[in-house]
Amino acid sequence: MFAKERHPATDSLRIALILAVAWLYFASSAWAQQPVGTMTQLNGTAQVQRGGSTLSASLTMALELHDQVKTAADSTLTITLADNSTLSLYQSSTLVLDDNVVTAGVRERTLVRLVIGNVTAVVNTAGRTIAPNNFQIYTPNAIVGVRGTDFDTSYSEGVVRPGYEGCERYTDVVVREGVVAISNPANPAAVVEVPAGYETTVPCLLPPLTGGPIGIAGAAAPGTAGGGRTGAAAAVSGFSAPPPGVGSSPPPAPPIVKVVQ
Amino acid sequence: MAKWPCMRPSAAVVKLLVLGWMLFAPAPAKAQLQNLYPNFFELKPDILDVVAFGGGFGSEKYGTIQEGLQLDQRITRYFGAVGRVTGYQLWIGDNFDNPLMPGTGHQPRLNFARLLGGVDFALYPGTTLFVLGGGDVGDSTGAVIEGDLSSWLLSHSRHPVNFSFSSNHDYQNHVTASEIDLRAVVSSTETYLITAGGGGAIYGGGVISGLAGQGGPDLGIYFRGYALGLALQGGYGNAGGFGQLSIIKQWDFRE
Repeated sequence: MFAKERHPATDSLRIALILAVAWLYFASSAWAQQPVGTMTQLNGTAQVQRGGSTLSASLTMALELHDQVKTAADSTLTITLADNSTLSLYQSSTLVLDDNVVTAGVRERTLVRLVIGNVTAVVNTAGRTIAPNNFQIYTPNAIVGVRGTDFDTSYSEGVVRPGYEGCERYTDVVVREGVVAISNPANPAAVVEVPAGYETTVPCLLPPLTGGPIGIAGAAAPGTAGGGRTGAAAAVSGFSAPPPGVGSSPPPAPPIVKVVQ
Repeated sequence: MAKWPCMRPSAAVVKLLVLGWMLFAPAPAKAQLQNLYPNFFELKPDILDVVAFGGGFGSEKYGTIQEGLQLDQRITRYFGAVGRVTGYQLWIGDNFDNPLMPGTGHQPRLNFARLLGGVDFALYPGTTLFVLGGGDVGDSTGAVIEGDLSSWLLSHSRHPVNFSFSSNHDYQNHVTASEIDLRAVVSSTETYLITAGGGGAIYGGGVISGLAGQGGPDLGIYFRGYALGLALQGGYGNAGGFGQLSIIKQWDFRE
């Protein structure tokens, strides 16, 4: 038997391969543990699920990739991401930070998954324009691709709305600044762009409805669907232009008959 | 042959049948009702809507100023209880008869308050119907009934259209007054919403022979942050040229 001669180049290749795998393993672990944001506001109680453990949320708490953040009833919190964009989570809501790639303080890609409830995103665009879909919010039945800077996303289950033939899952998006592109994963080709001042709804597996003016199209904003942005006054559900019988009430009958002198 | 009184379907019997159908309807009908109006009977008194309003109307023959408050307490998702109080001041042009109590002669100024109560129905998103009744106190003392309908059409579009119809009948001067308006959203932003359209009022019955009325274009703006709306209308009619201003301010109180 002849011993198989080892080629020095093969050894080098093996060592390089082992080093590369080790580097990838440790580097990915390091990335996973790198904070992607910080809890900058907390009212009430919230929990963070990280790996298999559940942590109580606290102010200035660093949040990591894949953390699941859950607010209790009557609780709100704000997460400031590494690029200074903010996510405000309203009561009884759950979101997951699925991806957040920031290079030198500039966002390359952010993916947030809204499991249930309401979130307001204020996206930082300082120093750059937002590339299409580099900031996205997913709900179970919608993909909200952000080209705007200030918008609300709400996802609700288990409540039937009139006019939707028994559908019990809705994503509502209210856009205050910029433009937001929305689609349903069940029908991703049907993308609806909603500009500032408008809102839309994604019911069940249907494509998003065409955007209508805020307060008229009927999308539930935080504050109406269990959240609350700045209190009751901001939660006015709609403009009924003007309320029936108030602005539109006819004036009292005109005097028609002249009095005979 | 004597008729059995109980065999005659009176309005009360019809109402009872409708109520019975709603309560004891067969399963398919209930399912249909559930699809059309989910949780129809579920009590949901979680919203109190308060509207303060004011405005004025000026024409060549007369002018009015009105101001008031409306409280709307939701009872279920589909209807609520409404109370409204409005104060009116009327200035009557020279030599014209009192339009509230015809035949009593000319009075330059009249003051009265209108107290109304009733229910509002929201049977379809963007559509509300108010059915109110009550009476006037002061220089007018008649009973009044009023119905108000507002509906948004094409609500999922850039330019939804609002159709509103308001009609009241005054049992003192027996005049029925109706206001019809049609306006479209011209522009919507984060901070405001602008509407434009046209409409007018029609008067009939009582002292008015035939029909009287006025109409013209209107323009409205609603400031979202303040929940404040302004509407202006101008035009021409039986009272000559006229101008009208309406202001509303809304508050929603939620549990």
